Amino acid sequence: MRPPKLVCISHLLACLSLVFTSNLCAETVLEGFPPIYENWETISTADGLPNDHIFWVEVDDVRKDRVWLGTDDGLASYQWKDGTVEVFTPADGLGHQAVMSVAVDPVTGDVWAATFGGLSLISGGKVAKNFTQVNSGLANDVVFAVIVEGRDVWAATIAGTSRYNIESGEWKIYSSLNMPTDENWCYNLSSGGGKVFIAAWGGGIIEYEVEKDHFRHYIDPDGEFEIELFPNDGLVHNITTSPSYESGLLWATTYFGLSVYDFRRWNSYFDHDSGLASNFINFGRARPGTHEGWICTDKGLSVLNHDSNTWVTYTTTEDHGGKGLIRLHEGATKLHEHEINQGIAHRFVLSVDFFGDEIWVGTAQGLSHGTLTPTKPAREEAQ
Amino acid sequence: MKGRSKTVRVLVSTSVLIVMTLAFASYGENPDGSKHEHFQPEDTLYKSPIHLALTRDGGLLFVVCHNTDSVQMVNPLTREVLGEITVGRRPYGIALSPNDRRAYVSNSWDDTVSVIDIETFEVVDTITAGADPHGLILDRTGENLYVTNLYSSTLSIISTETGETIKLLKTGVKPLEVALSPDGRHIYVSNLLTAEVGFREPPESEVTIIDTEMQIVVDRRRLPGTNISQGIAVSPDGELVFVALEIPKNLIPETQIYQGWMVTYGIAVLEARPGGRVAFLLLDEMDLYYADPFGLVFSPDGRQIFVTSSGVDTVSVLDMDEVKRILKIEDGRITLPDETISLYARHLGLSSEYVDARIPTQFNPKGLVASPDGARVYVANRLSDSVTIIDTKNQAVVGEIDLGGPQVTTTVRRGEYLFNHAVISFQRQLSCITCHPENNVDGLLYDIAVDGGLGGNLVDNRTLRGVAYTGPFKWSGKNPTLMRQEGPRAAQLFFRSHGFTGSDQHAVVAFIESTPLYPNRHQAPDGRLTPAQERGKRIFERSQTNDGKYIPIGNRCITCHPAPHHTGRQMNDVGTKAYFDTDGEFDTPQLTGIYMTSPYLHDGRCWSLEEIWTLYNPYDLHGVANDLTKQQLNELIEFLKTL
Repeated sequence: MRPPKLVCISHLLACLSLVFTSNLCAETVLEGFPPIYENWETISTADGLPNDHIFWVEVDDVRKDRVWLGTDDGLASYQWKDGTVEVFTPADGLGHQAVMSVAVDPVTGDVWAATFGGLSLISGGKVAKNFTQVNSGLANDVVFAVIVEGRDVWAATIAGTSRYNIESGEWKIYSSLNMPTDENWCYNLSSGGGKVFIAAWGGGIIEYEVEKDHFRHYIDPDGEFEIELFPNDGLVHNITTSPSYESGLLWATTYFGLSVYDFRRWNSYFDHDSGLASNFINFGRARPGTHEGWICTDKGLSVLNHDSNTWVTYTTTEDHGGKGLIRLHEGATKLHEHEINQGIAHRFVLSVDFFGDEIWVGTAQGLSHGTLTPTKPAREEAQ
Repeated sequence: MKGRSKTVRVLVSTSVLIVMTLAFASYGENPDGSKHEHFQPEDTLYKSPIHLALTRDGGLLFVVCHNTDSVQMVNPLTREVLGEITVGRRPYGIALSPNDRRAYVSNSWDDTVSVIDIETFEVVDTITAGADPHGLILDRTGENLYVTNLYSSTLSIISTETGETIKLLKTGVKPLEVALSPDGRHIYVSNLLTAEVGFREPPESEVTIIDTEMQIVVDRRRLPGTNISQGIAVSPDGELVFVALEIPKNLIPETQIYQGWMVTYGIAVLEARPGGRVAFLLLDEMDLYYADPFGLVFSPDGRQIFVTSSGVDTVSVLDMDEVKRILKIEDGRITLPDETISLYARHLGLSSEYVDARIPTQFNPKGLVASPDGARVYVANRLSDSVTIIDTKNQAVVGEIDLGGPQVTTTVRRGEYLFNHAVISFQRQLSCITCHPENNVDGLLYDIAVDGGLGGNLVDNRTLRGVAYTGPFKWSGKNPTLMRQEGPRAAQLFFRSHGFTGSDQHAVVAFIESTPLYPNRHQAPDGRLTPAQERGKRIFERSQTNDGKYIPIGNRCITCHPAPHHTGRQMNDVGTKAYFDTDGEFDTPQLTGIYMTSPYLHDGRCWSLEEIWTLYNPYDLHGVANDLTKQQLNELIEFLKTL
């Protein structure tokens, strides 16, 4: 790991002293730190969302006007320009009301929703099809995650990972029968660098090289231990909740800490030795083009600049509600903490995605939208 | 002399024998499942024009000749064929570039688009398209070509500059024709077959709407109760989209004649804006039907709509003002209440209000095009090898263009005519192709009342491609031959008339038996199977379960579905008898072309092959399959799709 880009710690402290007694100024960027978001708005059922349990957030990079939400009561899209909310439920043909993950096909703009009743395709503003284990080659109806990689749709299910070629219609299943793992419960997916990464619940991370049709398997070297016996020796735990690949780094989240792999060595991060808000990590996503990992935990959203080991955590002053709280760490050292009037909607964070320098965060109590500069909520402007 | 004479006789005899041997050798079965002996040399020479395109100045007419794999260039004023060039196999659609310098022709059997330089009238490029390209159109810039792919239910967006496919969008089921809005913002796609609907529910076809700027699907407009959507056009003011289609009555017994017996024919009128409403009007009259509407075009001023009824050799002319009056269309919005829309969709007494004229054409009118000044409409007569010229002001035929096909009518050609014409049917209600578009299936199940009583024995439609050697026919296996099927059976069950008799009966059977299987895109060109298909084949042929148990011969896939047609031509009970079936034994269907004949099982209860085994084979009566892993089932299906 490279040292922080900060000139020195005294320089940082000098910087921080300027803002220690008040909030960090707008567009705060501390050298070496991830950008700091002090402007948040919350979108909730009061704004038309079907449910405040936001399991998944996916920015629509094709339409560039909406964010798709997997919720406890269906799939929703929120158009940030005018606050329009569109909801798809089983009555519309959606596989199930519980939507665990969403992917937008970057080519066609079609939307895929992972539900507990199959894999749903939303196209042309309608649920065009729901693929299930009985009407298609899908491995199982309980689908936890979906991604689009090339012309393949990958779906993580409790009976393996399915791969559906959009153009040929062919289905393949990767399970313990043909993957280097005994675990079929696939929980999350990511792709990048010509590879697909599968987080298997209790099975570590499975890497699949698409071109070569070749697997690699990453597991916790110390087996069942819930602590790390030898620091940075590999994946911190086999119960993985998400992989995320970006710019040569593989981020692997677990319920027992965070692992980052640069394909030469592993680094482990825990709440006791870093700025990580909690070891209980629901999800993580690396910001495109960076070495920043946005880690969704049960106690807040932690952002790690892996190059400098600097952290910014967004949480709340209370378990339920309260003010926003921003915390800065360099390694394990807490450098700063301050309150803001409105922070993320809830500290139990489930998902995150990016649109330019804007952040969308799914929590257990609504959708949060973070910006670097203060902005009026878009829907208010529209009004 | 004697010796020479004997030698000559021997040589002649030998030659005759060789010729006869060769002739007999060529008789029989083609690899594509069709019969050789029906074909005559002229059968390959019929032009079978299907679509037309006219240059912006109206000076050149291009005719796609489906049967001769060619395109003709015609002077519409002198009615002279100026030239003919070969394109790919089974060409279908044609589109001209906005500057009239290029013509693009879809080659449905080659999965390509031929690019024709109009000035030199030469094919200058061949672009790879999707599977089974049909309708095509360019955007207003001419930079992007939109092509429907019937086989894969997709739409290709192709760069005309590079010839590369930019995107492949999912459409409805079997997309056929395309239309561009006048402002160039949207592409509208008609889809031949119904979307997947619930068991015993009415069909619903779809118009897929694409935003040309983002190049994504922005609407999937459902057309309730409809099927076989073909011609599509946008009104010149851009406010409405018209689709030629069928409104089938497949779920009610065939004895029901009130409000349209088995099928009615009409148009859908869509508000063009995404999310807009849809209404329907029939072309039919109370006791006379206008079967198999295909092509549809607006006059340039938008006042008239011309629709070909290919089954009755007619072009209907609709008055746009009357259509708007009846549907209460104001500013592009249909203001009729839903109830009235539903009523009009099956109203046989309305057409005289908006149909201005019925203009007779030659045989089997298909695509049509209006001249830029609106004075003429040209109609491709597929089974006459001609183009009819209509004077739009007088609403009358003013001439024909002979495209130069054979002057004789072969048996197969006669059969094709009969197959495509509704004249044999009571009140001209339907032709064979009504339910067998492109000689395949229409995706519907039917209540053939006489076969099972009212509401009983619903049966799925079956393909006619490659059926020559797959008898007996019908799910009940009642027809040992197609002769019987097309004679008294068709008369009694479908046409409610005398049916085909004598030489006509022979001809229509000859045509059906000469219908080949279409190219199968699941088969590699070299015939090799992929590893997954190979594993599926082993499952198809296996004699042991995964745990080594013996599978009785009668419970193996290959026993009842042996090569070459993958039917044992026997009746079998595979445990699929439903409560409304009188018998549990059904004809074993051929598996050749199974990839394209959804839905499946005798009553069409399965939209996918998977469902046959995941839902309807609990006791392994339809082959031992319950030991298969899901991946093995996927591989079995990958193999089945290659047949």
